[in-house]
Amino acid sequence: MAVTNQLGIDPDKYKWGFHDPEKYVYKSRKGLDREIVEMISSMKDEPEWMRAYRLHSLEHFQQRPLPTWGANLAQIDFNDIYYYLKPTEKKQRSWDEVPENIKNTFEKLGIPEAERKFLAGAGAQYESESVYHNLKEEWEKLGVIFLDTDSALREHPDIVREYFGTVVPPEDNKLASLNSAVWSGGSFVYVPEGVHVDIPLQAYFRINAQNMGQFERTLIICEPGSYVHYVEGCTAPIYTTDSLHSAVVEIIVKEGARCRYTTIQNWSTNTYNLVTKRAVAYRDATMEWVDGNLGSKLTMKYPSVFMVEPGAKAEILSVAFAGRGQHQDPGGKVIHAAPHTQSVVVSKSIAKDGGRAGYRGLVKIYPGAKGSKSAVRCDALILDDRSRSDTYPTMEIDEQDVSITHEATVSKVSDEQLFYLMSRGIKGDEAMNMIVRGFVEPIVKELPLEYAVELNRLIALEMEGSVG
Amino acid sequence: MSEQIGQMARAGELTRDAVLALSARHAEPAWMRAFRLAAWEAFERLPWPAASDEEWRRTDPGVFRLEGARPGGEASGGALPADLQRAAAAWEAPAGLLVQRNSLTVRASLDGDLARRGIVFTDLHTALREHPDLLRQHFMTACVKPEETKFRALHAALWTGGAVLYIPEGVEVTRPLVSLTWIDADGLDIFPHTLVIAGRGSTATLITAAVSPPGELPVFSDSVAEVMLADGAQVRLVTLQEWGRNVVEVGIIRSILARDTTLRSLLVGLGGRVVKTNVESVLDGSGATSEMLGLVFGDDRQHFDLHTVQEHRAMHTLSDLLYKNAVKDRARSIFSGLIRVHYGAQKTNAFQANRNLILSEGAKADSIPNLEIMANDLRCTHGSATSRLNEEHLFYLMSRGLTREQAMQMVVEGFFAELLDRVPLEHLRSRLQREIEQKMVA
Amino acid sequence: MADLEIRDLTVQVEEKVILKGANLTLNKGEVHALMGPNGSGKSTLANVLMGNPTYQVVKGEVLYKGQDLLAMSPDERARRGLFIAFQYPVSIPGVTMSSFLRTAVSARRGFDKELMPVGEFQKLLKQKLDELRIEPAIVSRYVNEGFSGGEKKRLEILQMAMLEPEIAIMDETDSGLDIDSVKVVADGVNRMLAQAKGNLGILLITHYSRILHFIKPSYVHVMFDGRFVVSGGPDLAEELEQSGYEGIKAQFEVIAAEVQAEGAVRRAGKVFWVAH
Repeated sequence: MAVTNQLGIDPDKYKWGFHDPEKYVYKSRKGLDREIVEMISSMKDEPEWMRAYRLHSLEHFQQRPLPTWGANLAQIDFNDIYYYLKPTEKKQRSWDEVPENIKNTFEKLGIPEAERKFLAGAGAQYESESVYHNLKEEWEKLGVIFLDTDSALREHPDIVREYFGTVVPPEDNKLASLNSAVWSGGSFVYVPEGVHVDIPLQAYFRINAQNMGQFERTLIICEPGSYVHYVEGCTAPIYTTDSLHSAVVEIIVKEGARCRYTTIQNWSTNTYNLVTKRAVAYRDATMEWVDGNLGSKLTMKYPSVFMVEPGAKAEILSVAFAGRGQHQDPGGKVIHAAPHTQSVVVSKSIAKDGGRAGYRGLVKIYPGAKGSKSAVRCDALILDDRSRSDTYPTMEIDEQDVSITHEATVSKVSDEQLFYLMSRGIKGDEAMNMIVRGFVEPIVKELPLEYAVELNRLIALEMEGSVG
Repeated sequence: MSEQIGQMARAGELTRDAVLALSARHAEPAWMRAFRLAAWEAFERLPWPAASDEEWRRTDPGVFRLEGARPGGEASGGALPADLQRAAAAWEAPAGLLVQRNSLTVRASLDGDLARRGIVFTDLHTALREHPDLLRQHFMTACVKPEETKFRALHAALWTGGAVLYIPEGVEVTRPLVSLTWIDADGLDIFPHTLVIAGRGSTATLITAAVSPPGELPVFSDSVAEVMLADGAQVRLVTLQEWGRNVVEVGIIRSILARDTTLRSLLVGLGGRVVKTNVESVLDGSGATSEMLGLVFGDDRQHFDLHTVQEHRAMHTLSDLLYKNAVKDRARSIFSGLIRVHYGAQKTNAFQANRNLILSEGAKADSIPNLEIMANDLRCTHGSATSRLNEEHLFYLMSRGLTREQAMQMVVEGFFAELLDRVPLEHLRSRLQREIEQKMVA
Repeated sequence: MADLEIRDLTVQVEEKVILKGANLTLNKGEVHALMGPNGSGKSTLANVLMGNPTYQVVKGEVLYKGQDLLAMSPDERARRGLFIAFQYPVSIPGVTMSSFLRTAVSARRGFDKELMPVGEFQKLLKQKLDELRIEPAIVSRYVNEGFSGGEKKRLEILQMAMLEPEIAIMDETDSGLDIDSVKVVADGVNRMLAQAKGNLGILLITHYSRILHFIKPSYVHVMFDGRFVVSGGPDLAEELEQSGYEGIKAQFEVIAAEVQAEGAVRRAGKVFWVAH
């Protein structure tokens, strides 16, 4: 029997709860002020505009109140966090050169193996800095860029400056200002016109240290007619104090291009995961968010698509699983700002052992976005009488010529379904498992096989001991 | 917001003294005077709603300014206007009829047999004299309370007129009771109150109609309806809002349902300039059923903000909500609904549907159907759909010789028919069809 | 020791008593037809035997190979060789028929930690699909979701063939099927009976005698209002076809009026179960 710590987390159950001894090239003091921000900028040897950008963002962060809607963020002590931890001097292109202890971590997470097997490129971030980024040569030859964002700022300053902060301005929300002030690492992806990267790029984010704040910044630019599928995964050890992960992701999908962004979020259940993700889709472009949230203490994340030119499409698929002590508040926003734009949102949430899961979303149709269509479907499964499901969709429709639908259901696992499976010899917990897997199947089937298997495995892990 | 308070003070009407004067004019007992004063203090203490409050994000609270305030209850003098006489006569043989003009009762009738069986159907002032205990027990004590919001506190301090319906245990009233509120004094502030107390196993239908002829100066209405159903009671409540375009209203209709009760409610929103209405059902006893229907048709620049709550506090409860909003011209409708199922309220069925029809370029419809579910053994669904007139339907009708206007009217009637089919009050139905027709032509 | 022994089984659903003291003994190698008008309690009996939690046993017992069947969970009953072909199979969104079948067959065959090897499973599946003339594509669809009535029934029989039960309850498997489908189902069942070589017993619940032209029962029982009233040989089914339930009911009522005590009364080759 595992020892359960004071957070009520069974360390045996969360497979990625291990941590390495802390060995850092640089560790900032706790807390956030002008000095810390300037230190981050100078250690990165950044151009002046970025330094100014960070300081402007910090001011905004300090002035802006915490959001009062949604979950309670008052417990986060922004002064008790390490804002910058540099694990190694250099980012590597070969796993062999990555320091042994860090490499071991990623070996345990299976990243190098996945890269060899089925990825076009892989990145790995450890604390504040990317320690590894590599793109297979064939894609590099086609002009695809896959770097950590710090390197991109050095190597492709013009592209970064052109797009950085244009989709998510630093004033957007308090957590976005925070990220804009102290961002470090993240991925930069640039796909030239007409290039289809037909196997995924993956980045893996790992928090190791206690009281760590990770603030990666990702920027993806899809030139006209291109395609890319970017996948991110994340884990952290379990400590008795909380960690903060607050990323900003900006995506530009130009005419006729398509971008798919898949997240399998499995932070430890003491991580606050407060992320701003947004894409702009131009004429006939398609943006797809596939968002799986299993870990974290609290996740507030509403991936958005601004459809700004005719024919743009958005798809948001969201799976959330909240177990004991977890609050999953994911969702999505689709903004129809041009005629003949279309969006589909499918959300599946599961709450168990007193967890709270749900959907919070916005469908906004601007005047003139004629012929736009939006369909939102939210299904929730509550597995016991202590758990909770919330659905907060908002539809703001300022145009006549539209078709907007929203449907939601909340249910439990039906006794009839359980009985049917059990009448065929399947044990109660496995039957429950099958039904829950079936519930999320419409979204899981959208994932590449390897991730589908991973997600199903994580759900099975969460489901352990469901039937007493 | 302090600016508004300043304006009120300048008007010289909305003061503690005005509250005292109002109470004295009606020769109220000490407890009611104290109740009003306590509410006044709550009003002064409570903050004004701010545009940043979630509930007020879509309706500017500044609209409900209290300039030139004149709490009503004054005689207008002279004979009843013909329009009002017609409005009062429109209801065929009601079991009881209560007509108030500018918060003053001008007609009150109740079937003699029902009166003998203990039914009370009168204005609040009369009830306060004749049935003080009833009011002391139920008036803004358990259902809606003054401290909830600034407007409810103001209502509690300044209520006038109002209607009380008390149905004793086991009494069944088959014909509807009608309460008509008529405003034809410009620049009035009115605080209409409806109090329904349905005893165990009783049955009744109450129609409240709020009507005013077109006026010039703004009228502010701050209304509260409290509906309490004791075990086994069955109540149908129709709230008909046909204010003139000079009226702005903020109001709440809250019902509390005990065991095995059935409430069938219909809210009709046709009039007013800016109307913000909360409709809440609290299902407090097992076996309670609440049907909540809403019909809203906005034209010109009308603004309707409807907030509904289906609050399930007990097991084996059922709520079924359907709100249909049509908007035309530059009108705007907001439906925000919440189903909340509390821990332990198992075996609950909760349904919520919102359908919006946008008839013109420039009209807007927002839909915010929320769920907060803390029980797992339940059936809960909500759906929302917003669309324009279906051109194929129009084409089909026009191909049979209807003009485009006729066809549109027919489609809009069809849109609302699903609601009206569920309300077996023939007079009401034909009346609403006429009004929808008028709106289509306007 | 009988393979399945039902004694005085009394069952209620939401406080309404449906089954009022049922008795039946069934052995492997036998086919029992259970007939009766709608609402007589046939499906209740089937569901209770499989352990559907909606039904509460108020009184009585059921022994399966001498052991207390009612104490077992539904999955345990299935693993021990009991099977039910449901009248209304539920759909389970997102779960494919093939993964469901593989899990179920593995459970029945005692694979504990791992599933039956894919190759072996596929071979078995293909064989059974062929025998029952079922389109293989159907197993990649979700369990019963969007299936026609006939497809659902045939998939129930496929499951029966895959799980190789010792006692199978078929709950109105013939209802809603056209005559060709009834024949396919019956052929499948007869093949299973032949292959089982006396190791399969069937309780065939049906409203009509049509399927009994294809699957020959050794015994026929009739239920009215929650009780077994008449038992007999295959002739009883034919008699029912001639005279309808009303005819049998009339006979029973005459006998029940004559006989004072409770118990079995043998008349005209049939056993009437009189209860007062």
